[in-house]
Amino acid sequence: MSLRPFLGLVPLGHVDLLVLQHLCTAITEFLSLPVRILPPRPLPPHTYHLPRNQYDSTRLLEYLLSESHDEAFRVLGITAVDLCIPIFTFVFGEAQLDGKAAIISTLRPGGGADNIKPRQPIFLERLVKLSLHELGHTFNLPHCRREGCLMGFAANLEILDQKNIELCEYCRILLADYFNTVSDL
Amino acid sequence: MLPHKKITILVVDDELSIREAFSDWLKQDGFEVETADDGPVALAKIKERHYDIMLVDVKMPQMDGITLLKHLKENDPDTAVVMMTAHGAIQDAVEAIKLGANDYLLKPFELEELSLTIEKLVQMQTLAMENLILKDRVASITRFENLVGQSPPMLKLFETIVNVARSDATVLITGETGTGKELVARTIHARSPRGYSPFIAINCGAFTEHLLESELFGHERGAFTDAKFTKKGRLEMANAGTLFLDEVGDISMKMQIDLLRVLETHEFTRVGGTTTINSDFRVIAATHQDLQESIRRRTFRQDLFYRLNVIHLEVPPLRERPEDIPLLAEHFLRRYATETGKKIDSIHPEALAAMRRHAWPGNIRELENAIERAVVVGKSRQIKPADLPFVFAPGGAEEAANLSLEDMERRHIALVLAAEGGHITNAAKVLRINRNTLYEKIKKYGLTP
Repeated sequence: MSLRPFLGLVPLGHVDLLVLQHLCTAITEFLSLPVRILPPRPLPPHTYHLPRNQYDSTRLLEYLLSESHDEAFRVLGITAVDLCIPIFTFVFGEAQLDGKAAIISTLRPGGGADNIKPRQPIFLERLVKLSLHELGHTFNLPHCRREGCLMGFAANLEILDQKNIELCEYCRILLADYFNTVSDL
Repeated sequence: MLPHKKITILVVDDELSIREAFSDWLKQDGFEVETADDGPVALAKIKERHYDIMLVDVKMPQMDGITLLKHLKENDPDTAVVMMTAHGAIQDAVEAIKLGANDYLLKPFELEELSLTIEKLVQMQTLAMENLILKDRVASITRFENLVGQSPPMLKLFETIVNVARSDATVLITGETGTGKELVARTIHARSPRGYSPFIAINCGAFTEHLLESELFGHERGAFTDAKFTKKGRLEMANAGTLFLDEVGDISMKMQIDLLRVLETHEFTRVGGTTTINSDFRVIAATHQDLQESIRRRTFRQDLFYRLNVIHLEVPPLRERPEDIPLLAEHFLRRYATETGKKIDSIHPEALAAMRRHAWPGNIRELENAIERAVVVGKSRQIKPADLPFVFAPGGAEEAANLSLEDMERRHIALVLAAEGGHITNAAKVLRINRNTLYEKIKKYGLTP
């Protein structure tokens, strides 16, 4: 086993292996960091919100953090269920700003909310964008207004699809600065 | 959204999960967020500082959101308020709007709704701030005056200014609020070979990132919703002259990257434009902040600091040059006596002695204000100790001599607030500081507006 710290992908509940492998490759390529798929974890019942029939993403993030992933410097939870937070009807994902954990849902990018199923490449591209966006928050990048930037806020799938899988020049510099100040990356 | 560095938001909701969700979400958008779990806590917080936007839940156990809204509109009408209510309670939202709330949200809401609501309020706040800045600018034009001083630190500063003015090097001016950093910058410019070209000043701390970008770089028509005309930026206007970047320590991390690049190349494009523009300007920057400390806290780029800090000038606070006080007092007396047409031509020796004993936390700006007030309220040909606001304070100047600097500042702010009936904008005008600075000081000293 490599001693170098890595970024861990944690399936929460059942997640398609193809999705995990695709994200693993795409994140490795984008961030030039080692990425590993970690053993799946069940979805804890206390994170389920019965009245909304959704899972509370903040509670899932807490759960993700409580599971020991000491060797991983960042963990990205991936789940097939729909996520929400108390103020929003749904969220695509959530992250801790300058923290260790982030989470994304594959449900809405896969057309699970409106039954408009996208082609597989589009679905996977959406997941890559969401994963990198949420991970960007863990590297202390806030939302960005530059057109097309990966750190731009996407309120719906249409906006998500318009984003590029790339950071604007400012976010690139800020991310590089962040990596320079964190010695163990 | 942009990191709206200057926009502060207070979330008032009795549910912890809601407060945390808002806090996390809005922080990702770059806002400064605080929370309160009930109306009384929120009221205590708004007495301590100003918030640009408040998100208030209607249903709360101790004090409901509508009651809080009423208090808020009495205490701090400048704060934009968004009420939040559960679906099915629309009548609460209607009542809130009637009472002056700016908008409402029905919980839970779509991602887009919150984003659009906040964006609208930010634009509203930005316009209000722009208005204040324009007023400040008009005031500064009418009050431009040369540096005054004969104390050793000031004489040394004058000497340095003469030398610095000859070169074209970038200058960083530091010093406490009210010491006259802009005046020093204007003097350097006036004595430099660029003296007949424009001196373009911009207070970087007073703009949101978006507005600062547009102010500095200009914008093309249609670059954003309100860009109806092409506008030249300050960088372009400063061509052949001097660009004065006041409160440079307040610039966001992203704008620091832009600024660094433009300082290196003197090339830039307008917002929404593609043509590269060259501008030959000299940069003088100023701040009251400790930039070394900001670098340690990772809020200021070290490379930008080195780029700005080619020549460093420190403007001494007034308390370190008490011998200049009579000179400055006479100077301001002449100006305000002329302006008001009042026949006041001297200062009583006891008033001068009280001025020498005073700590002047607000520096020259505070002294100027004290003289202006004395001229306005004075009833004889001479300024008397009783005409000075700080001597008028309970205990008088004798007691004041034993107070710490902070105590004096606290007392002075309290006096001005009382004199202005707690009106923040008027008090800030009298103190010659901006409203945000006043709010910070009110919070620091636990004062009640």
